[in-house]
Amino acid sequence: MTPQAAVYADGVSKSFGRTPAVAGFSLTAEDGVTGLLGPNGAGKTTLLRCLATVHAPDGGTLRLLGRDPGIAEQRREIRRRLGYLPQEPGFQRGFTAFEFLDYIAILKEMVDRRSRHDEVRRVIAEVGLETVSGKTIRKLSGGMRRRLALAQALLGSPELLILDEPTVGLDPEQRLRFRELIGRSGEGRAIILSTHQTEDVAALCSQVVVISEGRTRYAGSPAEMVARAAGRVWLDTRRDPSAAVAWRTGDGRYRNVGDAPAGADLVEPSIEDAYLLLVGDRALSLADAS
Amino acid sequence: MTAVVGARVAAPDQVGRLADARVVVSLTLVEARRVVAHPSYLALTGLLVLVAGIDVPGLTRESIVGLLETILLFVPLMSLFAANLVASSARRANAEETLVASPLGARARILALCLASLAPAALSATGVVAYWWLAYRAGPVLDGAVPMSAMASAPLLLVGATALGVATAQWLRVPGAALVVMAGLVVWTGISADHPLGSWFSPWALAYTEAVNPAPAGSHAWHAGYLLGLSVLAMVAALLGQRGGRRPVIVTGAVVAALTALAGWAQLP
Repeated sequence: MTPQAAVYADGVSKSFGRTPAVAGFSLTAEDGVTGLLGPNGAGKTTLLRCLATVHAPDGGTLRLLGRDPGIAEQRREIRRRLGYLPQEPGFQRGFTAFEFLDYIAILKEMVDRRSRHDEVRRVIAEVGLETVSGKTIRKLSGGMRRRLALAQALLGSPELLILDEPTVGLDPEQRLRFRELIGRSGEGRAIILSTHQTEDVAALCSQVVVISEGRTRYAGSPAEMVARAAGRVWLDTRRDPSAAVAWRTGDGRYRNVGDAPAGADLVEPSIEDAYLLLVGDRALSLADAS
Repeated sequence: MTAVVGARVAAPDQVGRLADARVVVSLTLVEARRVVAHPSYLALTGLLVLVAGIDVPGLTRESIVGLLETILLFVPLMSLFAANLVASSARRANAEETLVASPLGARARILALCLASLAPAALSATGVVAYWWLAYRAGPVLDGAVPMSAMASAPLLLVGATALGVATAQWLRVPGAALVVMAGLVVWTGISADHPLGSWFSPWALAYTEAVNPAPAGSHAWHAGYLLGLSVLAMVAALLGQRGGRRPVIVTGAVVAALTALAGWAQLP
């Protein structure tokens, strides 16, 4: 793997005061969807802000699309080829959906009015907001706003797409549509998305990176990640004390994840089981929170 | 052998600057529309005209003078307020993160906002021309009611006030800052109006009839230069709100400040 990859990070770190948010993160991502999993406070958003050139890393090597974001001219070249969906995208009051996208398109240096409007209409159609493009944003539902935020990231068909929890707040149907859209968008470009939804990762990603406390816990394919949990998930009528994590399922039995005792009723692990095994104790707080 | 390069072919950095200029112009048009069509601007200005119109009934010389004075004083303040809200809208809406990741830099965005101040100025210039035409048609009723120089200062007042609204959004990132600046301007005008020379340094020196501000005999042309200087200084202040690459802005600001001081001195009687 070389720094010419869409994303090349080697030992990237970022701190706020004395608090390290990202510590020695490494990743190489090419075309396709790379999923970033981790509990709350793991440093995912800070990391994605570094990848989106919003934050400058404190240490390590970061190359995006073969360029150095630490150099102003190269950073600007990166931004020309970048689409970014923040975790909590805000919208200025008074804009309609179309006007907002037109505004962002200008910021993305699309000067010619006609072709810019064509591009705005294209992304509006891509996220399925044609019928509400003339409405002010405050009149749109949360799901529609989320799709609008994704639409701005898709403007100009960027080579690198950074999506911070794109499916949060969406209902199951919207999530499926989102997956379909992201799956389509991943062809011929690199997408880095962070999520708490392990099913999204299983459905979309060719590569998954698990981070916890700012460090990489796993980087590889979702299938390999699941394979690591083989033999470590079992069902029992009780919460097994040897399990790292256990929860009561719908049929009244407990799904235990950890080091299985001899003779345990082993079941096929899911990517969620594998994730819980990787993040260990941090997973407990996540499981409690959810 | 030296290769002959076409003199008219722009160097890559010139091409970049030209592209930047086109982006800034496109953005300026959008920002100008946002400022001029801002609900607070439209609503408050409409209310102002309505109240002023009701307050002095009848199309008399006094009512027209009162209305024009009110407009000359308050419309620039409304413009300051609207520009401040537009310039701070991304911050207030938590939308800055999206903007930061775009290739157009923050300073270029602020420059577009500053240039957008030309839109309300252009509108007021249209109003001034309409007033001249009306004054010409009305004859003695309006002749000399409001000095032409006072009317002509309106576009400059709007440029400066709008740019000041943008600068306030850059430097005073707290709710209500625009209102404090507006109050400061009014207090400045009120205090300086009592001083025969000091009144010339107020942005509204010419915006009153002789009844309020007894016949300052200085140079109206230099006063226009002074107002223009203040407007550009407000833009410089707005542009300095962003870190990095401040040197050319500071140099420009220093030159403009010197010219403004010169115009301020030259305008005095």
